[in-house]
Parts: sequence; C-alpha cells; structure tokens
Amino acid sequence: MRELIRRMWRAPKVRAGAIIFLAVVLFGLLVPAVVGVGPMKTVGELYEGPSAQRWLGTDNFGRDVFVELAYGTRTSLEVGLLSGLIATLIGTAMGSLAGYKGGLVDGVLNSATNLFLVIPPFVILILLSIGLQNRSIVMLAVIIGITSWSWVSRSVRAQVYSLKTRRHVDIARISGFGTFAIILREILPYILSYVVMAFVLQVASGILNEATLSMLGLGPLEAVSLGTMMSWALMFEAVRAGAWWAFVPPVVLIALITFSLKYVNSGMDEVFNPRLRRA
Amino acid sequence: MKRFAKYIGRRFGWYLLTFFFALLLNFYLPRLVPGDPISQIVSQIASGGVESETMRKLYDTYVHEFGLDKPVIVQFLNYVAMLFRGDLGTSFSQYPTPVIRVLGQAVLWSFALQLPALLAGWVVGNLLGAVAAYRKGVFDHTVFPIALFFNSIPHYALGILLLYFLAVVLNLFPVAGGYDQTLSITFSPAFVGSAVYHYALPFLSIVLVTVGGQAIGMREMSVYELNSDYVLYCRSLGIGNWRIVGYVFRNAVLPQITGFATSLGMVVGGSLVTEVVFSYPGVGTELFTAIRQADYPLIQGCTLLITLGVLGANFLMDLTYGLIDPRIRAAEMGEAGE
Amino acid sequence: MRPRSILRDVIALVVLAGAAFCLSSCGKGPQGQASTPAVLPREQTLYVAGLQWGSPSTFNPIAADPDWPVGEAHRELLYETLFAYDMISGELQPLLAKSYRWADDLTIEVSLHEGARWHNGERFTADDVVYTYELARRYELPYSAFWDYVGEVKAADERTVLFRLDPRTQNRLMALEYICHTHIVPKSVFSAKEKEFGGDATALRQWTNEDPIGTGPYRMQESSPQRVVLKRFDDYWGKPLWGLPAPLYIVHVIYKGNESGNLALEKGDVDLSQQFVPQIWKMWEGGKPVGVWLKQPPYYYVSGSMPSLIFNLHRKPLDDPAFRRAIAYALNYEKIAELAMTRYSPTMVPGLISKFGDEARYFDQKLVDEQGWHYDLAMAGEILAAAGYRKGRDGVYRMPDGSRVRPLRVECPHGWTDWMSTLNMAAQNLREIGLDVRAEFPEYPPFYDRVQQGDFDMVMYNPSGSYSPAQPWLKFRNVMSAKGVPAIGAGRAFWNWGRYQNDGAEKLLAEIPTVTDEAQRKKLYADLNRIFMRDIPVLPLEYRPWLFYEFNAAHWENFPTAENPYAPPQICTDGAGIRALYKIRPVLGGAR
Repeated sequence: MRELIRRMWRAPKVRAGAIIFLAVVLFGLLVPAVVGVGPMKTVGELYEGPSAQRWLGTDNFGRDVFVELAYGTRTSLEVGLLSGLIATLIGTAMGSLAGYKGGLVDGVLNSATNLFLVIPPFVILILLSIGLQNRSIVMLAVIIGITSWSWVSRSVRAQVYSLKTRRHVDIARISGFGTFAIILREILPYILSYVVMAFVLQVASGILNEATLSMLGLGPLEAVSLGTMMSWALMFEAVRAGAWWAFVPPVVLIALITFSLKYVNSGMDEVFNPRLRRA
Repeated sequence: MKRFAKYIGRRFGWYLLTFFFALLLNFYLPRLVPGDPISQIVSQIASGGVESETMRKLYDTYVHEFGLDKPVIVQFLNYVAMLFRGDLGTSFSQYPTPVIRVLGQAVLWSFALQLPALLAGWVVGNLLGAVAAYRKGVFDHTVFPIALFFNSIPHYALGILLLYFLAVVLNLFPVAGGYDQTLSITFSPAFVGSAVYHYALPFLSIVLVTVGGQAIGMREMSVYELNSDYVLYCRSLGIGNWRIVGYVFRNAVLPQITGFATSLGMVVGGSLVTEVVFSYPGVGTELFTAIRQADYPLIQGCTLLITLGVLGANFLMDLTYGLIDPRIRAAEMGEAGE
Repeated sequence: MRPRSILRDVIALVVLAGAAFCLSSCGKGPQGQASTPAVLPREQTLYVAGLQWGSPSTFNPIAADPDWPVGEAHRELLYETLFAYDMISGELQPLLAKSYRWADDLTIEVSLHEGARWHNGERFTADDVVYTYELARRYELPYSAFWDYVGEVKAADERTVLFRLDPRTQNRLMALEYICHTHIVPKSVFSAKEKEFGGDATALRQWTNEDPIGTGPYRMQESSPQRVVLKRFDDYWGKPLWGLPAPLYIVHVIYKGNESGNLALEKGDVDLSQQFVPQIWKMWEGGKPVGVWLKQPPYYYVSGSMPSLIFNLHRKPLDDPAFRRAIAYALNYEKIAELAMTRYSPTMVPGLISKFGDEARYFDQKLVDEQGWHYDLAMAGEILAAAGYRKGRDGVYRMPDGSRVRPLRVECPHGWTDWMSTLNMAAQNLREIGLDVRAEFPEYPPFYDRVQQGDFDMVMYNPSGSYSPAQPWLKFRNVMSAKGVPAIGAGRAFWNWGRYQNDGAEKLLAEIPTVTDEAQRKKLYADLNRIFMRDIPVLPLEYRPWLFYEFNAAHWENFPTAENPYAPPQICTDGAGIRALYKIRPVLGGAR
C-alpha cells in the first residue's frame, strides 16, 4: 500500500495535478475562513468592475465575486467528492459482485449496468432534480452519484472476472470464507488502483454534472456553487453587459479542478500500466 | 455467418429490452415534476378578472381533453399505443401543436449542429493524438496538457467564453439564433451563408472540447500500442515506420470508436446546454423550455428522441465493432455459454 | 468497415438531413398569399420583440393562449376591439365602435363605425359583435366570464349594439373592460367552423386559424418557430378615417432569452421591444439611438401595477397583523427600486392605490400618512416588541409563546430576474432585523401550483391584473375578495392566494362597480384602502410598468415619448398606442 503511494507520488503528472488540486482546495477552504462573512451579502451595485476593494467586482445581486468564488469552489468540491464517493462505492460493489459471482447474478447486474450506461444519465438527472423538493448539496450529490456509477461497475467487473481465477482466491473459497469476505480481503486489494483512479474521475465528472445542473437552474437552492455563478451570469445578461468577471473566473476554476484531477488520473494510469509510459 | 447473425439478434433483443425500460422511465419521470400545467394554461386566461366557477369549468374541460383524469396505467398504455401510431401527443405549452411538429424542426437543427461538430472533433482529435504519440518530445508534452485543459471545460462554458470574446467584444460573429432574422428559410445562398455564419460559434465550442478529449484518448492508446510486443517485433524485423504506424493506428482506433458511442450520452447533455447559450433553435432549447413549463408530452418527446439516438448509435457501433474485431464476437459468445 | 467508409455514409446522412430540414422547416404561409420575399426591405419593415416567447402554435382568438399578434385582446394589428384603450388618459377611443353611452342605469349603447370591413371583403355589422359574445356563452372560452357581469347582448340595428348588465351584480367596470378588450371575430367564418365541427368545443379550440380574417390593418404573412411576419392590408377599412400605418411588414423575431433580444435591440436589429432591459440608460450613454418614454428615472410609464409580497394568512406567524406590519417597516424600498428594478420603479408608497398614472385621482396622501409605513428598522423592532416577540440570544426572534420563529421561505419563479433580485434584497432585510428568512426560486410550474393551493409562506407575485377600465377595482378584488376562492386544501385559487377574508371589504367591493358618482367612488376606494393598510394582506414592493416600452431609432424615427406624447406608450400595437404606427417614419438614407 505504502509502496503504491510512493510510486504514484514520484510520477510528475500526479505531482503536478495534485498540487493544482490542493491549491484550489485551499482557496476554497481558507478564503471563507479568513473573510468570515457569507457570500450572500449585497455589498455593491449590479456588475461593478474589479477594484482594489473587491478584486473581482460584484455580481448581478451586488455580491462580492471573489468571496463567492471561494464559497462556490467549496460547494462544487463538496458535491464532487460526495457524488464521486457514492458512485465509486456503488460501482465497485456492483462490479465486484457481478464479476465474482458470475452466472445469473452477473447477467442481471450486467444488464442493469448497461441499461444505465446507455440511457443518457443526463436525461434521468434532469428529471430527478426537477422532482426534488429540497435541492440541498447532499441530495444533489446523491442523485448525481446514483446516475453515474455504470462505467465504474463495468471496468471493475472486468478486473474481478479475471482475478477470480487466481489461486489465493480459490484457496479462500475452499477454506469456506463467504462471498463478501473473499471480495473484501482477496480481491479488492488488487483492484485498489483501479478503484482509486475511478474515484478521481468520478469526482471530476460529479463537479461537471453539478455545473450542468446549475446551468439549467436545477442547482443547490441555498448554496453558491461554480455552476450557479455561471447560470446567474447567463440569466442576468453578464455577457451583454461586458461583466466578464462574473463568468470567466468560475469557468477557469471548473476547468482547473477538472484538469488537475484528470492529469492526476493520467499520471496514475501510467504508473499502474507500464505500457502507457513513454519508451 | 450464422454465429454473427445470432450475435446481432441477441444484441438487437437486448436493445429492445433497454428501449422498453427507457419508455417506462420516459413516461413516468416527467410526471414526477410537481406542478400542474393545466392550471397554468387556465390561469393565463384569468389575468382579466374571471369568476372562479368559470375557471373551474375551464380547468375540468382541459384536464379531460388531455386525458389526465384517467389512472396512470391507462395513461401509459395510451402513450405506448400512440407511439406505435407515430403520435407523440400534443404539447401543453404550445397547444395545439403536436409534439412531432415541434421536434421535427428542432431535431434537424440539432442534428446539423452536433453531428458534424462531433465528427470534426473526432477526426482532428484522433489525428492530433496519434501524431503526438508518434512524435514524442516537446510536441507531445505541450499537446497533452493543452488538450486536457480544453477537455476539462464544459462545452457550454467554452461557448460562453467564445460568445463573449468573439461575438460581443470583437463583434466577429452573431450573438444568437440559427440564421439572420431578415431572411426567410429558403435554399438561397444568402440563407445558407447566414446559417453557416450563425453556426460557427456553437460548432467551435463543441469541436474544441471534443478535440481535446479525443486527442488524449488516441495518444494514450497509441502509446499503449507503440509499446506492445508486435511493434517491437516488427521493428526488429526491419519493417518500415509508416507500415507500423498503420497497424498501430488501426488497433488504437478501435477503443476510440466504442468510446465515441458510450460518451455520446454525456456529450449530448453538454451540447444541449450549448444550444441554450446560443439560442440555437434545436432540441436543447425545446427541452429546457418544456421542463420550465411542465410540458409532459414535449419533455417525453425530447428525452425519447435523445434516448433513441443514443441507443441507435450504440447499436450501430456494436455492429461495426463486431464486424471489425473478431475477438469481441468471440467474447460475447464465450460469455453466453457461461 | 474502415473509418473512411463510415465517414462517407455519415456525409451522405448529413446531406440528406440538410435537404429534409429545408423542406420541413420552411415557414408556413397562408395559402393565397404571395410568398415572403427572401430578404425583407429594411426601411419598410418594423422589427419587434418581447411579446412572443415560444414557437407560435395557434392564431385562434378563442384558444386558451393564442400567439402574437392574436393573443391578449389589446393588440389591434390583426383583429380589432370595439374601443382602443388609452392607458394614460383612461379613455376609450373609437376603433370599430364610434362611441358609447349609458342608455339607462343598466344598459350601454355602443354605436359602430360605418364602412368597417373584414379582410375577405364582407361588411362588419352589429351581428358580428353579438355573435362574438354569444360564442362565449355557448362554449367555455377565455372571455366567458363576460356573462358573469352582462345579462344580454342585442343588436338594435346594423350599427348599434346594446349591452344589458346583470342586475344582480351591476358591475359597470367589468362590463366596460370586456367591451373594451375583446377581439371581434367574423360571424360568417366562425359559424361555418362551428357547423364543420358539429358544435365540438375541443375541435373548435384546436383549430389553429392559420390565415386569420380580421378587420385590422395587417394580415398574417408567415409564421415559423423563429419569427412571425405580418403584411399590411392596403384595403384596410379605416383608411379613409386615419390612413395606413407606415411599416409594410411587421416582424416579431422570437428570441429564446432576454439576453439575445436585448442585444438585438442594442444593435438595431430590433426597432421596438417589450423586454425587461436592465440599466437601459447605458445603451444611449454608449451612443446608441435607443429611447424610452422618459429621459430620466423611472424611464417607463408607471401606474397601478404592483408586484407584491403575498402572505399566507393562515400560517403562523404570518396570520398576526402586527407581524406583517413589522415586515412592512423592515424592507428597504428605495434600495429595492434602485437595485432590483434598476431605477425603473419610484420608491414604493404604501397602500393599494397607486400615486402614479391614472389611478392617482383616487390617491389620498393624508390616508397614507396616517396609516402607511416606510423603511424604519427601529419601528419594526418596536412593533414586534409590542406584540410580544422577543429576540433570542442567537439574534433570532421568539414567538410570544417562547418558541423560536420558524424559518420562513420567500419565493418567486426562477428566471424572473428582477423579482429574484427584489426577493434577494427583501430576504436580506428581514434577516437583518432577526428573522430566519430564505429566498428561493423554484421553477414556475411547481411554484404556481403551490401558490394556488395555498402551500407557501410568502411569495412574490403580481395581483394587479392588467391595465383596464376596471382598475383599481380589479386589483382590490384580486387582493381582498374571498368570493369564489376555495379555502386552503379545498381547491385552487385564481386570485387572493393568501385567502384573506373581510366582510367589510367584500361589501365595498360589491358596491364600488355600481356607483356612478366620482366623489362617491373616491370615498369608497379610500375606505377600502384603509382596511387594506390596516390588515396588509399583501405588501406591495415596487411598481412595474404595465408594458415595457423601448425603441431603437436607427431605422425608424418619431416614436412617441413623454416629450412627444401623441400616443400612449402601448408599444405601438396595443389599444390607443396603435396611432404610433401611422406616425413613425423610416430614417432616410438608411440607418444612422
């Protein structure tokens, strides 16, 4: 395990990506702690430009964009992490069960997985979030999580399928250990690298999904997120007013978060898959 | 050939089953949207001081007309029956226009926008990725991060940026719509020219993001292949570089095709929001207006269309993949015997 | 299959799609009309925006929601009304009718113009008028409520129609509203359709009427999801009376959002707009020839429309008049007008009668001074303290019984940007005095559903109705009348969503429309307003123009403004505003 982490950290891509991601996380955590007052307070006029007092000017409600950006980053990260966790857990559970058990269980789970893979999750996501009465951060993370686990399940299943023929697994089975014990102790440690990579990607896609939902006006009701910032900018005609500070920063931040996560993922891929490394 | 036919048959059967579930979800989920569309239609009339009794009679008339007073099962069966007749129902918000007419025009605009954009992105991206993998060095090290960055920006966010910089600040491109408002829809060069001009920015947003994603994927697959045994073997045999690249490309492209199909579902979502950003008259804007107004038939029509499109694309990809790669077919057959 | 041949098939598909698309999405034009020219002549075409948001689906005036220019029976472009209402003077100006008079206490006698004709050449007579109203008696139509106020409509002769009020309600105001704001439809065309559908109301309502036959100066030329085009009817019956309107074509481009429409206005692609444009002064300060009614705040003509905070009077603590009064003192109306309405609203003056516009004749400053309120946080605190509310240690108020005042939600539909800004500010104000209030923006369908069912704490909505001879009675009715409003849980309400009940108010509401003496009416309105200000069932937050009116004089000039008020600011197409179409001129030598 420790060997794994050490190997990962040595890869340049992982390091670079992780540093960027950590910088963003710090931004999201420190600024709110330092500033103290929430992002909802109206401090100025509609779309005031950046100034010495307010580094990124004000938004359509007259709120401080810099403060909003920090809180928004925090919200988006929360949704991303929670939804990533849920999706990875469900996907890993479904995939390992299907791969290990085989037969009917595999067939049924496989069909369910493919179903969710092929019916555009985006569509289900929209409909579910409209139906929600209480659009809190947690609820949003939950529905994003339960609509995006399919590909994790598929890739885990493939791995488990090949793993289950290994000798130590057979020994464990003969010794009488139950299904869950075997999966947890004999199989999971070997697919841990895949699960971690999947989690990283799920966080990235969770953040993107939240942004898309917020753009449609289906975002969290009480919190500011990067997506809601973009949607206010569009709704209140920031583009026409030339108020670039209202939409460029959230876009850049989403891109940075997603980029850093995918970069880390690519780096990890190279570590675990030597064939991907440069000759 | 018989085995192949069996393979196709099973795949088709499976897709049919998926389609049925999609229908179920499609029918039921919009009804989760709280809010009564009928009362909206009726209240629009009420803006001029009307007595409640009259309102109530009007309300009941419309409910009956839309069949909303029947139990849900009956409504579902009606829905399926109408589908077989090719009738997608009547839109609530654009009453009395049938859904098929609303979507017919929108679909073609969306189709015309997304398909070429996705393809262009796919082609350019894969080429870029292959070249980067092959060339190595500085080219590779710059292309990769840039491509990844572009791929990390959601389509519509890039669209907003392009809209701001190119259309508002630099005034190079139009701001909204499918074509210039002074023109009628004819096959005239003026119209086609205007349509293309309005097409440029949304097209660019989708292409740039797709290029990013495809470039990365292709580069990774190419590197993977380049390090594989058969390449080393070919090299040791002295086979020319270009020949090798040919083999590598063909092997590397296969997963890209599958990736194209499976990511279609997600791509569809992002591109639809892009349409809204540009006020492009496609399925995206229709779907979002429909959601705002709890227009069940129109929502169902849009989601059905998207689902059908994605299912169809996946099925086609399964077919071509099955034809190209014998291993897949064997694997499917092998699994079936389990 | 190689990737190359896939590409080939795909290209073929795209070409096919392109061809199919061009064929299927061509704009549909009515048969018999010359096809629209490929490019419309700019100096003869007036572009409008802000009156049609979705794809046009029906031009049938008796459908629930017909599209521009048939929707809203104020538009005088295609169909016409008997009178053209002037929102500034309140006059009923002649249009299809020449004049009206009260033949007796219960009967209105309307005299029609000579020589009026339908687009198909047939003569317009009193029979058409009678038929139009009778249609609403036979079927459930948008204006069927007419028959709640009128008992009988009769043609005395070819040029005279008699309206006899229902003696039980004797509501002169609503009768006038319907006489003023109903599109008259041709008897020959509609009765033929009735026969064709065998009296089936659904079929009649679903008929899309793609080539409407009206009396107005324009005819339908083309409609598509992107735009609606009207062409001037040069045989217009009103030509000998007042000439022909200047634009040969009027085009309504259907924008998918506020932003694109506002950008088009700024660029000069749109000449006349009814959209909400935040900070519109920036456009002419930036050198564009954009204009509005007034050159200084509030820029637009403001009268009786008052978006308000609607309280649910059956929920604690909103059922306590003292609590509501405290809220009235806690809101910073000036900031709201300044920031949320970007200066388009004067600061709110308490009461339901507006200080501005034609309602001002009923406005009583003394009454407002005695009973009204204003932004005063200290006063709000005093009122709450006097009513038994105490602030807890966490800064949030406690009820008289000691429990914490529960978190309250204040809502408006998502996407209604100026209202969202208003509520944001209001919620902030209320949090400042120590109430746990959150502003939320649900989608319109669930929002309106809950408003009707009475499932809300506070919502922002506009109970004012529309501009009409029946104002401000209509506004009071919508706010204070419980007649016909089912209780919470017993059904939907179409007005008075907070379920206010007051017998005194009900009596006044029944009496006012029957009164003919102005002084008497003024006194009754004052009494009603006094009850309103005592109970505050809704809290008016800001004013809003009945219609937003802005124009870009790059291609057309001589639009009416306050400096040149030859027509009221009714976007040149509604009621008496249509006079403007006759007087505007194309800018010579092309755009400025």
